[in-house]
Amino acid sequence: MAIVNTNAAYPPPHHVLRDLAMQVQSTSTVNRAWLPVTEHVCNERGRVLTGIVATMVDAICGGLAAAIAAPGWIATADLSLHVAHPLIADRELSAAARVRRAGRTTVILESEIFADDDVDTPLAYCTASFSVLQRRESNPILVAGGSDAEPRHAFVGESSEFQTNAYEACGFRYLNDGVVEVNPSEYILNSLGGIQGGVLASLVDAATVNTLGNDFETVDLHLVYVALAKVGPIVAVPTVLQCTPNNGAVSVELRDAGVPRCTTVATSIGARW
Amino acid sequence: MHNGCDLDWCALVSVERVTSYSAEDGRSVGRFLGLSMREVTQPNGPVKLEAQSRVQSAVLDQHGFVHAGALFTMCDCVGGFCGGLGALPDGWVVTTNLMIRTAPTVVASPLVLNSAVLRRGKTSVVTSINVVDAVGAFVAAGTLTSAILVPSDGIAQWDRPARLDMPSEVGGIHFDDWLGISIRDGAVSIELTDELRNPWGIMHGGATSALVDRGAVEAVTHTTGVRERLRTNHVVLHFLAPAKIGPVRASGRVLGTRPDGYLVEVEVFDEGSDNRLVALAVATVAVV
Repeated sequence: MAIVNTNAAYPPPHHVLRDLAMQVQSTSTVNRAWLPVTEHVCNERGRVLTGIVATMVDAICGGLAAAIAAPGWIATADLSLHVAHPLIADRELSAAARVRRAGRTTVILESEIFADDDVDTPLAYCTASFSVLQRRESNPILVAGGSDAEPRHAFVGESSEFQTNAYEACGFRYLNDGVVEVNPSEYILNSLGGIQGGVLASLVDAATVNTLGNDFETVDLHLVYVALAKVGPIVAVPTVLQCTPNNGAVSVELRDAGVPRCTTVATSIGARW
Repeated sequence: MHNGCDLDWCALVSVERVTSYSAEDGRSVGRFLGLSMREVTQPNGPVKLEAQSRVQSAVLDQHGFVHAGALFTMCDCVGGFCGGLGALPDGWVVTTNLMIRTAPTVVASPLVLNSAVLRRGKTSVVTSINVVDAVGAFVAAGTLTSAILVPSDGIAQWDRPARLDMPSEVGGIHFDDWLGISIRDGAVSIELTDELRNPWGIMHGGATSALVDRGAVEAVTHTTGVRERLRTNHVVLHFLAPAKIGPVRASGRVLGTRPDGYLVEVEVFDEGSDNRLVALAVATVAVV
């Protein structure tokens, strides 16, 4: 089964999904992706940003969920990412998404993330739930078909690459007290007109590190998407629940200051490896 | 039948609820924990609930902390009841997704649990849960997502603001013993007794979360040999299908070791239903 987007309008030419430069390969049961690891998707210690991994798995899990939900469309309801080993790769990260449950209103998937050619030891594990929605005109059209042996191909057609740090490219602004905010722009919107679920996960990642300190890395992310983040600015406000010298638990609320309303509630764990 | 509900859960409702259960059944779990819940919703505000649970030795672990599984169970009860009130008058709820972070601390009794509806959709409700002890110290926090279903025998009516008092019926039995957990080859199992069923007649979400807690700890012990001072401090749990028959078994796989503990994937199976996968979880087990 190939999952092909036949809607040329999304994503637009300058979009975070193109800059990720992912390649994908779909079979009837698994959606795989490969993410090139460059300095722009890594932190200062050379580890891939946890939010970028979340964006990758949100995209491939969403692609598989949408193919299953067709002719309906889907929206991410919740996403959890758990890092088992430091997110280090020489060349690329790969991810494989599988369906664990497909109901009429919800599709639940899991994904494992690997470094380079090692497919035995997952660096991270992800689960995600998608709500099944009625199709809108703007939604991509994902066509399922073809053979199981399709080659790797670009996720969104014409790819580009980050020219700067990925979070900077998304427009994240770092404020006092760990707060991070971003304005919605075409670059980071999904096909429903809200900020991409993976970018919101990245915002939570950024707020976690901003509040615990740059020597922490986010090792757990759990987001529940409550409403679309559309107007902005979208403000990630962290509250530290617990902190020890080596790890900290943070509650992060994402507020759409332009409405105003809560768009996402999240819990994250930061750790010093 | 409710148009928006998932097939698996709907089939369950039309069978179990009619044949075996009344509205008063399915509260044994809440009674064991001695939960007292009252609605504190403000006019025009989201549904809110405040609950208390007296901390008894039956729910303490070997470190003197509140048993993680018991804490998960309390959160499921309180968040679920809050979500159920939020679902009225269109239906009642079953938990589909639970995330809880706990603190390994000695607490001052009673525990105070606050829950609020964050989102009420057509087919689901999302609630927050925050748990502090009697002096306001952080104990746990999380979110719970529930599916809205319509029972075939009608939706329970509640006087509002709602109140539900379930005096403790512990009787000196420890939580683990009450659940009836058995361990073999690194996996844990329980028989699905009537006491462990919820008002829908299926395995209570809290009991499932407690089984996940033990399954995660046992997976660490089985894999690493570490036995002492293990405690689950974080869980994300997806309920995939109802556990109806039992025995129900949880088996875990250690994914890695981090500064905050062991990361464990746990799968839960209903052995009596052709070994069907009923829940999927990821937990962090810390050495405290």
